[in-house]
Amino acid sequence: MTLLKVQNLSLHYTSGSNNIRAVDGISFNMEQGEVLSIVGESGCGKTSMSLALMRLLPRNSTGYSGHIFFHDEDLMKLSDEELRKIIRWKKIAMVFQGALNSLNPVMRIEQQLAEPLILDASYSRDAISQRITELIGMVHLPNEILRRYPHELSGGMKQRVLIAMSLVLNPQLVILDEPTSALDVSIQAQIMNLLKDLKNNLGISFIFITHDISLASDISDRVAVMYAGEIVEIGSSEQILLKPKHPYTIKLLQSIPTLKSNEPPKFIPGSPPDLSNPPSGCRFHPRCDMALAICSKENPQSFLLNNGQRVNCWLLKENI
Amino acid sequence: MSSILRVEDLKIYYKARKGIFGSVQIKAVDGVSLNVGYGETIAIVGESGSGKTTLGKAILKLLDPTSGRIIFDDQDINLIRTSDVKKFRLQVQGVFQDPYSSMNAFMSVKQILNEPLAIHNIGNKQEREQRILEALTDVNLFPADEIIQKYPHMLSGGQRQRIGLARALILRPKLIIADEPVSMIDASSRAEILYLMRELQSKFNITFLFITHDIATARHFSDKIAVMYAGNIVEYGSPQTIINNPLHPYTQALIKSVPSTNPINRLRMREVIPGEPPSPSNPPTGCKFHPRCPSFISGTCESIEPISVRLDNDHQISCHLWTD
Repeated sequence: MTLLKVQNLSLHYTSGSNNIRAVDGISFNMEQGEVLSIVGESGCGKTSMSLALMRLLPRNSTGYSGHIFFHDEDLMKLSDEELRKIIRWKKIAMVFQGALNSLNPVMRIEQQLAEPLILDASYSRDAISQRITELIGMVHLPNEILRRYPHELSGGMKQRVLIAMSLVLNPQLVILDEPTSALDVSIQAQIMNLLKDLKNNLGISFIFITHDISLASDISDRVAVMYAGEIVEIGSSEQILLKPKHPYTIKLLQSIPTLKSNEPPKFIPGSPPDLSNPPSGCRFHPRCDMALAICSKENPQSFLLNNGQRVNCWLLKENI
Repeated sequence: MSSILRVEDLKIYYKARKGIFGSVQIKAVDGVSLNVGYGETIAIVGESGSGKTTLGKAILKLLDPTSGRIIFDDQDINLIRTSDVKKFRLQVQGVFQDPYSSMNAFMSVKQILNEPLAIHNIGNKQEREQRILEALTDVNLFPADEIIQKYPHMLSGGQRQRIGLARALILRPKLIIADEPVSMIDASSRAEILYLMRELQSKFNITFLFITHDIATARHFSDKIAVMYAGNIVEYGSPQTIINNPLHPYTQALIKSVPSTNPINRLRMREVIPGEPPSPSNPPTGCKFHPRCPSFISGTCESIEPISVRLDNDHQISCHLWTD
């Protein structure tokens, strides 16, 4: 069943006199129980896209348009108040990037977990305490954690608390923005296992945002590759990781250092473009070593391959 | 091969406050010995709290060791007189993790790169400018005469880290301590900085101490790997040895924790080391890894601290599985 259908979503900001096209017309679908990873370098609009989905818009946003169908209901048609009451945190929740230090230092973990339930007047005291005990078990933390303060927890424990906080109101979709990038490799592996557990046992859908495509392989059913505010390639994990078609995806994969092969990692020269003035035609063409004459002139068409993989690249024009 | 840097049984303990009156001893580095040859790149691999950054700072002479010696170019760096410290700093430079905070936001690239030259009284105004332009070209920042006028916020993370490298390089040091130089940079441009470091190494014959948490990067960009855990080097060897034949259970676990890009990964749980690295204020007795170790030998590992043994020419390990 389709959980989320995003059509032509855009989010633009102003910065000084510039109009920054952080998210520029992206579309994708997501099935219930699925994990979709959004990968791309920093500055490609991954975080902006998730803020657009949650309608947590920065004050300097200028353009916010498109459609977000959540279970066939267009969220863009809801007022801010309706969205806050019905959707945000209740249906769609988010774990923010670098949130480890955003826990309130003077509140016990149990108070922080209970806060949304207390605000929602329909929960009794017992129900609240039962729910937070259940949550803390879901993220494999011992009960005694509830009485502690954030400074008494390690980074890995705090990340588990944050994941538990996103689950308090039983959302169907959780957006995870770089949830492991501040953690050590061994703790990162533990958190990834926890996410797999939650996916398998609770059937929660995740949007997993990362700049590390190898980490995406660890959890995603499907992968979307973002570049300069656009999705340039999307498909199943197998398609994107084993048979990537877009030169950007290929280069992202080649930049991962591997332990098994002697092949040294490569790199993508240059950096993502300034989104206030993106390059003409295909936005990746200045960094692409396979660029054709047309690439600098015309925006690439979206090519849908027989297997369902979608690629925005002129190189596919003849092959299709 | 003669060595440029020798670390002998280095211990660095801090005092940290606990409560209002109490204090607690933190054993950040607890008996590290290391030998680095001229022109080598040695990677120090470890998780946070392993003491790798403290070790780097001690070699930069930014910290005084509690005991042990650091010998750079046949001289114990802790016996250097205050008046000679500047001379030492000409030869040993650092590149730091965060290119956003390790530079003064109010200084232009020119001012940032001019500062070391001014401090060490090198050249006159024209010569300095010439040297700054050369340094920018060395780190592949073009066009140098444009970059020189920019401020850090106008540069990307990768460009900023190259300024950091140029700042270290401009004094033509013999040894550069690079502490997580690429961890804040996008995965897609990490290799670029590392190739650049390698190129500069052969061009100027620089020795690198490359501190990282990422064993996969260390495999491709170093001549030797030292794996640190809770203040000790637990295994040391060439990248081939460490990656293809890791013997310490911690090294084995670190290697398993590197994700590959195989989509089948999502269908299986990753093998993980249970628990978390120990608190340096209250480390476990015996082998510090024993509470998390899958090959734990009861009666030995929790009571006796393992000693480092040399298995062959370039493989050393401290683990009871291999010492007895």
